[in-house]
Amino acid sequence: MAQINILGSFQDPKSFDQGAGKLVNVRVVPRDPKEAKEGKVRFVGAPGLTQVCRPTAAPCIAICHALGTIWTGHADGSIYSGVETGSPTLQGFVAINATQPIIRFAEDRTALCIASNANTLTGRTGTGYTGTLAAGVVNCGFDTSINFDPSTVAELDNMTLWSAASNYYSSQDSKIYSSNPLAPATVQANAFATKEARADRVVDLAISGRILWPLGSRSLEQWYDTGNGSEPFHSLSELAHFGWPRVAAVASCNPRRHRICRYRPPRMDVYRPVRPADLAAMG
Amino acid sequence: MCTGQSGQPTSPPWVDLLLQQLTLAQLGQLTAYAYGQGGSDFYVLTLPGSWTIELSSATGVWSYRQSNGRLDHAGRCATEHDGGIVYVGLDTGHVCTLDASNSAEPAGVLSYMILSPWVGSEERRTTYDALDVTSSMGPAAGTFQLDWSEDRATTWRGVRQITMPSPGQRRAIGRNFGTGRRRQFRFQYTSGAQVPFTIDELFLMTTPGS
Repeated sequence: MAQINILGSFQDPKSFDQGAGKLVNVRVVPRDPKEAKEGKVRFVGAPGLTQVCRPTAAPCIAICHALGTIWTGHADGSIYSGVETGSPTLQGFVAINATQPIIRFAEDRTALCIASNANTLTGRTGTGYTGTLAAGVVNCGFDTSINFDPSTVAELDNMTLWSAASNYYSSQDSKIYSSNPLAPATVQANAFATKEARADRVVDLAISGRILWPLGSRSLEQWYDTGNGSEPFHSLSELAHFGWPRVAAVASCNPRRHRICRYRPPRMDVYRPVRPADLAAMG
Repeated sequence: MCTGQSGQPTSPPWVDLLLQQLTLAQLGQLTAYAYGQGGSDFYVLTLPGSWTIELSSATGVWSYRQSNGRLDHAGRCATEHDGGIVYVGLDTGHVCTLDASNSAEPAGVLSYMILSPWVGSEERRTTYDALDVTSSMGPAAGTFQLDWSEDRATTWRGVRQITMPSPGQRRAIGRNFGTGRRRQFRFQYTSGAQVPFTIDELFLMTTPGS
């Protein structure tokens, strides 16, 4: 009699046969070698979800920690704070593209930074906002101050980075503006960098391991903070000459985990930033 | 310099095929988020209304996620609060905390399913003698459903309700599955009476035929 280890088929993540096999709400977890079992992995169920609150029936599409509380953004454009308390507070609304609503959050020490994917003035890409417990959601006014309609935002070294704008205002779709430190809505007109290796537009920004990742429509770059000048971010390298990122399919984990996933047909790639030691060696 | 700077593929061929079969409009609907739990990172990719797949960075293995009563999972975003509590935002508007001691979501109790890869061969018949299991859940977990298919999970045969052996014991939970060519065995647990769902070992005992 032969023995087939069914769990063993799931050990190899590249196994072709995993396409036939299927796990639903079940994960593969490596076993401690000290158990000395024939099977090297076990199956463990995915965790459940315990309800904290339901601020609105509109889908929750963004969630972020800022100012000591948790904020959520919903598909109807509503922004709530204090959701972890079970009694959320409506802080205001942002303009949203009803076809595919997208809200990006970034945590600054002074405010929650918000970018949405609609703009009531230009009818184009997006709008930047800040959210505070005292003043609620406030439009940053970038259309007036720097002719910019950002649809994504990120935070690094106390600077807020705004990008993924349209060209409603001329030649803005490849620019990344950085704010004054700890002043997300204060952006100088010359405080921008241009994603330069390729002439493609910025689709999204991600931060991982203190590296800024501008994700272009056809390329992917890494930038780092030099600490010098009005626009301190400089390009480190270009990673990919091709790509097809879908803005809603980009996700980065906790910065300490150093991982960015990105989808480009026909496969999903994961990127890790360079190590800090490498940056130091680069001078 | 720059070790690890280049992209490393994380999708096995079956995920590649899943993505390649999408239309441009569907690609535009993909949504994803990432979260950490138990020392591992998880990347969750959803085609709303159709499927959700989750990558564990620790193992590189992808699995499906489903909320009760739907094909995809309701989660759309996640963040970590002070103290390491993970908050998940759902497309129903709910905000929840990740809870490994709970098998329920706002939509209901999670269903767990293991569909085995193909066993046996297309060329030769195989006698499927027994299915042995070791699980730390034990008999208190209630009943599981076991069945099998020979036609790419279209029709299911040999349905039987089983209970787990005592923790640490290996026991046959099914015998005499007959003779056939390639098969897939399916293992389902829907009651959620005990968490976490755990299968430690799963062996299929076969006798090669002609």
